[in-house]
Amino acid sequence: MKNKIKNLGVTVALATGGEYQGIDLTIQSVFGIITGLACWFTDFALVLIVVYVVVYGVKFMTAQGNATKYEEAKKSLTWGLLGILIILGTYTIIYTVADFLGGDYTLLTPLTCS
Amino acid sequence: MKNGVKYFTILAFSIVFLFFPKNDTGAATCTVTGAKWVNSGAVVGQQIGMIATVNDVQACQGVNVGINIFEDDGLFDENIATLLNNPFSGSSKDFTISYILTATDYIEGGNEVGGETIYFTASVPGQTTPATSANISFKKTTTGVAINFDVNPRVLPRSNITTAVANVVIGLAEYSSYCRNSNITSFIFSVMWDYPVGADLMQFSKTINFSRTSSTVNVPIREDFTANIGSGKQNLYALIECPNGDDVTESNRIEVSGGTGLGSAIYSCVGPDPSGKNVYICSSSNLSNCSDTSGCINKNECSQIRSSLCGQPVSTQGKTVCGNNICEPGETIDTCRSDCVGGGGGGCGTTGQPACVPGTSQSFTFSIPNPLKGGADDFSELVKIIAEWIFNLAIPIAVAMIVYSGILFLTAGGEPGKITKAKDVLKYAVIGLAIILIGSGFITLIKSILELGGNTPTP
Repeated sequence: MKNKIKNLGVTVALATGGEYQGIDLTIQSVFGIITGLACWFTDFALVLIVVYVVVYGVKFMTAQGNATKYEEAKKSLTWGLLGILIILGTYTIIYTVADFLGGDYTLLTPLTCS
Repeated sequence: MKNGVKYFTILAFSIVFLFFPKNDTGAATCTVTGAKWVNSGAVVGQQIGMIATVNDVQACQGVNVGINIFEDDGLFDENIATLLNNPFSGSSKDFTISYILTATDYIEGGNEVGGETIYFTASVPGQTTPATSANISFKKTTTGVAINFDVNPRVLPRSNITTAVANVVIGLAEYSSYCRNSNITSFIFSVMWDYPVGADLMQFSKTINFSRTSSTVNVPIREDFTANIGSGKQNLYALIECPNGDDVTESNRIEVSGGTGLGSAIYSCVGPDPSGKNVYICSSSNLSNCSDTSGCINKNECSQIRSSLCGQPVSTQGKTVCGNNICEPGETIDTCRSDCVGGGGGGCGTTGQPACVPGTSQSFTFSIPNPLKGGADDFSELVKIIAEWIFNLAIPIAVAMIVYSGILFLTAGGEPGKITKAKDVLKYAVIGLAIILIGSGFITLIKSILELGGNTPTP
């Protein structure tokens, strides 16, 4: 087995001198990366909202009057709506916490997602 | 096989149609291919000429050439005039359109003091990309005022006094009509800091009077003022205004170097000590106007000196001497390095010190500049800078965590186990956020607990 791996003869395409330009990663750019991830995550959540509202709608339809299935679908949608409320109200939660603590948190501006 | 023949026929016809020359090549469509100004500059009231060059004289006969004049603002160019009704005529490809620029056009373009830059575009109906001309200058009018401006010294640490030297030449007829006052005898002279972003900051302003002795009046100006400008290379310029505040003209820019500059400097004024000798009286709270120090009341000047000079007698009267090892008011690191930096106070051979003798011990002062760009001088400041960075990181993470808990709620589908997990995520996200927001406040909290019963601590 060991020998087999050795003899695979993998060739790696190497960037030749001067052609390869790495990205300058600085500690200051970490903030931008984290912000970008948070932004991406928020966008992802927005897509999920649409998907799951449709899924729960289908759940209601397939219940076909079956009482157990209907209750289950209702429960799913209720918690789903709470989830939507939390996703859309992220900044409301953050500002409420900040306001409750009574500070002047001028740094707390919504993330700028481009 | 039958089908094959059919497809081949269709293909052959398509190819013939595709490559067949179109039958409308004879009548070329009219387009404007070039645009240029007749004049090299323009002022309000002047008739200017614009040349639109077309591709085909025959095709363009009678076609309307639309002209748009824009003010070049770099980003959002303002349309200052539109001339739509210019039917092409003549036998030359160059078609000239004339227009008289009005004062309204100038105001439309933003009404800038120093003049505007304009260009025009020319096109015919249906032409998607119009031809664009080069830029020319567009000035309000001849105001009749010319100014020459300079400052001395050009090294200006914060709150340093400098002298503005200017020569203003006023053509009385134009200036009077510009300011709408036939017996005008004054103007407002201001020194402005050309602030790199945003509005320029006024450093000094004074109404200057002159007498109407001849048609051209020469007004020399020599005024001391206190400059408060940013560090590094900065530009100062003089602004002349009518007495009613209308802008007349701006002078040339003078590059000066500003900054805080003095190291461990302290504000002080010069006043008599109990024995009547003039000494440096230092501001106890280091205020830029020395108002907190009784010895400085009713003294106009308050300037920065090296803090070791506090209480020392003033050596020279009004004049600064570079090389006397005293950082006098008016002397800065830039103008007299040996006096205002510790460098002169060091070893032998430097300014103000005896020559070096071989075999004797020598002392020199060295300084290592702080490599931390954040300007942290001690450990607690460094911690503060790092804490701020982590705080900035925490906000997007908090956003992500709250959104994550929302997603968990959304995808739980009513399952109690998953909902409990989602609730926990939300709960701890909020608790974490609260802790981050309180942050350094915990230290204050503990400190305030220790001080219970004593004086109420300042928040």
